[in-house]
Amino acid sequence: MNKKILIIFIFTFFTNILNAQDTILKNIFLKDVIILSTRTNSKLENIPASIDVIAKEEIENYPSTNIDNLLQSVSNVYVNRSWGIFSKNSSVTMRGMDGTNRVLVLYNGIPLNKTSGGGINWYMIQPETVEKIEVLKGSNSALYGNNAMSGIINIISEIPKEKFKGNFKLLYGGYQTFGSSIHLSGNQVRNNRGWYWYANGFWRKGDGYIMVPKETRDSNDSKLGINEFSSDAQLGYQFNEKTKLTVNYNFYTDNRSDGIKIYEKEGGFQKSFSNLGMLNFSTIMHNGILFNAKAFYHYDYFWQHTEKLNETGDTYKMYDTDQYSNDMGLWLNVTRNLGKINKLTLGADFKHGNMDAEDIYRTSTDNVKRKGNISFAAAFLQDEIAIGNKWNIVAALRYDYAGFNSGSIVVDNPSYNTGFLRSFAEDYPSNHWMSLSPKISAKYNFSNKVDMYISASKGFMPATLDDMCSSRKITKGFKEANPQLKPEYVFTYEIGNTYKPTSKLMFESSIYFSEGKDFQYFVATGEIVDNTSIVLKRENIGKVNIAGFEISAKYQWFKNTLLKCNYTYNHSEIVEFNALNETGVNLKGKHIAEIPAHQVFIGLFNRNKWINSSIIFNYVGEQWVDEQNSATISDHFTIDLRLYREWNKRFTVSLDLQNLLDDEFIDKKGGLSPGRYFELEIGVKF
Amino acid sequence: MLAFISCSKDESNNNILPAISLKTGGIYVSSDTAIAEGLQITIGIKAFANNGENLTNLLIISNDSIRLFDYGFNAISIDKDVLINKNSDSIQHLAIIIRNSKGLSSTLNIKLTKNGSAYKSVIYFPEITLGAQNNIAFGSFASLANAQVYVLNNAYQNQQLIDLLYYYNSIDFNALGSPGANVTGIYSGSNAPEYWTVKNTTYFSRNIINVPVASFDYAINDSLIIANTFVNGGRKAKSLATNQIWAFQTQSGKFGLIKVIQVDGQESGSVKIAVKMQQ
Repeated sequence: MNKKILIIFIFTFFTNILNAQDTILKNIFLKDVIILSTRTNSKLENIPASIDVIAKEEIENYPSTNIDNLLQSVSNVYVNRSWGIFSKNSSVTMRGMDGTNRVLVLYNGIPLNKTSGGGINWYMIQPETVEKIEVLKGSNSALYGNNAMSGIINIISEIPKEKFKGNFKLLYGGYQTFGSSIHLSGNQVRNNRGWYWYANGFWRKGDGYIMVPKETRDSNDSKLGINEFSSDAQLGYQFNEKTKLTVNYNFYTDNRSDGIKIYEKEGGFQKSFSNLGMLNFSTIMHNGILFNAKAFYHYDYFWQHTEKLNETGDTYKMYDTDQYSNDMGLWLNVTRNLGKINKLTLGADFKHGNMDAEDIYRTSTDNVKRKGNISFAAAFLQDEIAIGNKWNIVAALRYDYAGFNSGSIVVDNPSYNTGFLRSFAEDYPSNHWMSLSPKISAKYNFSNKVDMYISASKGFMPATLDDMCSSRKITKGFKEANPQLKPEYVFTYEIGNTYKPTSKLMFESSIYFSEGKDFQYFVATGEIVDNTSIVLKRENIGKVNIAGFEISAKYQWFKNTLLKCNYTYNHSEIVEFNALNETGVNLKGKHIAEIPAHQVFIGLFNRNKWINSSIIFNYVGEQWVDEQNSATISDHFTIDLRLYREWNKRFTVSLDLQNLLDDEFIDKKGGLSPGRYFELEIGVKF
Repeated sequence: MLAFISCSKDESNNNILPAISLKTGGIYVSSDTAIAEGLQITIGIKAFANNGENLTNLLIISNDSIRLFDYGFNAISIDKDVLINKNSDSIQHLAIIIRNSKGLSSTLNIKLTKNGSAYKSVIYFPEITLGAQNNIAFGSFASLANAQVYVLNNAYQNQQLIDLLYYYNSIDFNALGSPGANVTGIYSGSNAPEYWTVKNTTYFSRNIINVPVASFDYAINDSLIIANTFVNGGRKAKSLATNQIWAFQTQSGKFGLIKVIQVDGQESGSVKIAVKMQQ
C-alpha cells in the first residue's frame, strides 16, 4: 500500500516536471537576498559564514505542520519532533551540540529563547506569515551574546505588499484532527508613507494517539490529544523612505493531554498561555547613520496537571505545576559606512528574565516554590570590511554581563514526596559573570563561481534559571538545582566554500571544529530521591570536542523543479571530565547524547500550473539517548509529501503526508512516534 | 497598544469540607487510650467527599511532626485500617487528617497515653557479603531468614527463600533489590530472576529516615525499627554507599534496617551489609 502511494506520487511528480510551463521557482539560488541576522542588512554573498535561507516559495511548498518542520531541510540542523503535532514542543539543535538553548532563535531579530529554560515555543509562529528563515551556523556571541553557541535561526515575518488580501482555510488530518485558519493583510503605503498590517488566526484540535508501545501499554495509557489556538498581528507605519516602525503581537494557548489517565476525568494535561509583543524601529539619519531599535516583552504561563501510579500500583501521586516566566529587553544599534571599505556597527543590548514556579501536591501536603531572576547587559562593535570585489572581512567584539539574583527554592509542609527537597531548599546567593566574545572571519571570491570563507569565533552561554533554581522531577530522574553553575564557552573554527559550476547548480560545504569549555551537562550525583529517581545535576563537566562537516547541493532540474540535498556528519565527544563524584562514573570519551552522527536530506520541489508538489526524504542516524552512552535511539528514515493546487487564484487544496512509509520509532522518552500522518486543507482566497 | 491576555487557574469553587469518622468496637481504637509503648493498635478510618472535590490524601501525624501514615489516592470515599505503634512518649497526640484535591481538610484527634513497654529484641546479622552479577567469589542472592547467601543457580532452586539480591548497572549503580523488583537483563541464563516462578518483593526506604550509624549499632530492641517503618517504599535501594542506613520491609511484612558497611567495584564488585530486623 505504502509503495503504491509512493509510486503514484513519483509518477505524478515526474509528469509534472515534464509538463512544467510558465510558473517559476523564485530565489532558488538567493543571489541578491539581504540577510538581517548580521544586524546590518548585508548581502548573502558578502557574508563570510555558512548561511542557509529558506525562502517563501520553499515554505509554501514544504510538507510542514509546524514552523520547525521547515528547518529539517537545512544541513546540520537536527529537528526532534518525535510525536508530530502532538509533541509538547520541538527540540532544534545544530552542529553537534545538544539542547535548544545552544541555538539562538530570533523572530524579526528579537530573541525567543526563554531565560527560564532556554527553550522555544515554536507553536507561536505560523508558517503562513513567515517571509523567510535565515540560518547562520557557528558560534556568534560576538554579535548576539547568550545562546548563540552553535548557530542562529532568524525567522522573518512578511511585510504585506498587496493593498488587501486574505484567505480562510479548513483543515482535516489524521487522528481526528480538525482546524481552521484565517489570514488578512493589507498595505496602504503610497509614496513611501502609510500603514501596512496583517492579522492571523489558527486553531487545531486532535484526538491524538497513544504513544506507549503496544507491548508495554496498560489501562492507564491514554491519547495525546491537543487543542491549540494561536493568533498574531502586525501593524506598521512607514514614515518615509528611510523610517519605519513595526509592532507585532503573538498569542498562543493550548491544552495537551500527557497520555496518562488514572483516576482524573481528563487525566494528566498541560495548558499554556504565551504572549509576545515586539517593536521594531529603524531609520537612516541625515548623516547616513542607520539606527535600529528593538523592544520586546514575552510572558509565559504554564500549568501542568500530573497523575502517576508506580509500577506496583500501590503509590498514587497527583500534583500541579504552576509556572510564570517573563522576558523583556531593549536592543539598540547604529551602523555607519566609514569610507568605501568599512561599515561599522555599534550596539547595546539589555535583557531581563524571571521565573516563578510552584509544585502543588494534591495527594500530599507539599508545596514547592522556586524562582529566580537573571539580567543581561552587553555592548558590541562590528566592522565589515569590503576590499574590492574579492575580500569580505568581518571583525567583531562583544562584552557581556549576566547577573543572577533572588533565586530560591522553598518547601512548605514536606511529606515523603518532597521531604528530600529539604536539603536543597535555600535562598541562593547572587552571582554574576562577564565575557568578552570576539569573532574574525574572511571570505575570498575567486570568481563568480567559487568563493571560500574562514572563521574563528567564540560562544558564551550562562546557565538557565531552571538549571540554577529548579530542583524537580524530569524525564530522566530528579534534577537538582545548581546555583553555582558557571557559563560555558565554545570556540569554533571553520572553513567553507561555495561552488556554482553552472547557473543551475550550486554546492556548499563547511568543515568545522568546536571546543567547548566548562560545558554544561547532566551528571548523576549518586544520590537517589523518592526511592526511585536518580539525582542529576547540571555541572560544568570540562571540555568537549565537536568536529564535523556539512555538504549541500541545489540543482534546478528542468524549468520549475528544485532538487535540494545535504549530508551532515558530527562527532561530539567529552574529552575532559572534571565532575567526578562518589559514583566513580567518568564520562570522558563518551559521546554527547541526542546527537545523530549522520543526517541526510533530499528534497524535490516542483511548481507547476497544474499542481505543485514536493517530496522529502529524511534520514536521521543512530544517537545515544543518555549521558553514559548505555542506550541508543535507532536510526530512522521518513518520506514526506505535499501536493498543492490552486483554481482561478481563489480556491486552494493541499495535502501533506508525513512519514508516508509509516516508520514508527521509539524516542528518548520511550514514546512511540505517530507513524503516518496527513493533513488535508481546503481554502478560499479573497 | 498591546492587549496581553491573562489567565487563571481552572479550579471550581466547591468549598465543601470532606467528612471523616473512625470505626468503633472490636480491634479499633477510636478515642483516647492508654497502651504500652511499641504495642500496635488499629485505627479504622472512613471518609467521604461529601459532595465536594475527590479525596486525595489521608495522613496521620504524631505530635504535630512525625508522619506515621501518608497515603495518596483519588476517590469519593475511603475505608482504611491503619496500624500504628505507640512510641516512647508519655503522651502521643495523633491527628488523623483527610484532604481533598483542593487542599481542604478535616481532622480527628486521638491521645495515646504510655502504659508500660512492649518492644521486642531483634534478629541481628552483623555481616552479609553479596557479590554483583559478575563476581565469582560471592553469591548475589540472600535470604533474611538465616542470612544464607546463594549463587544464581542455587537461588533459583530456593526461590521462596530469597529476599535480597545485589547488582551493579550504570543506571542504578550499586543496588540492592529483590526477585520481585523487576531486575531484568542483569543476570544471564534461564535461571535469572525474571524467569522465577516465586518472586518475593522487599521494599526499601531512605527518604523518611535519618538514622545515625551509632543508633543502628546500639539498637538492641525493635524500637528503632518501629520508629522508622514506612508506607511508600521503593523496590530497589540504589546508589549504595558506605554508612548508609536503609529501612526495609520483607514480603512477609517484617521491617528492618540495613547498614551498608562497604561497597567495592562495579559488575564484579561486592557489598558488605549488616541487618537488624523484627523477629
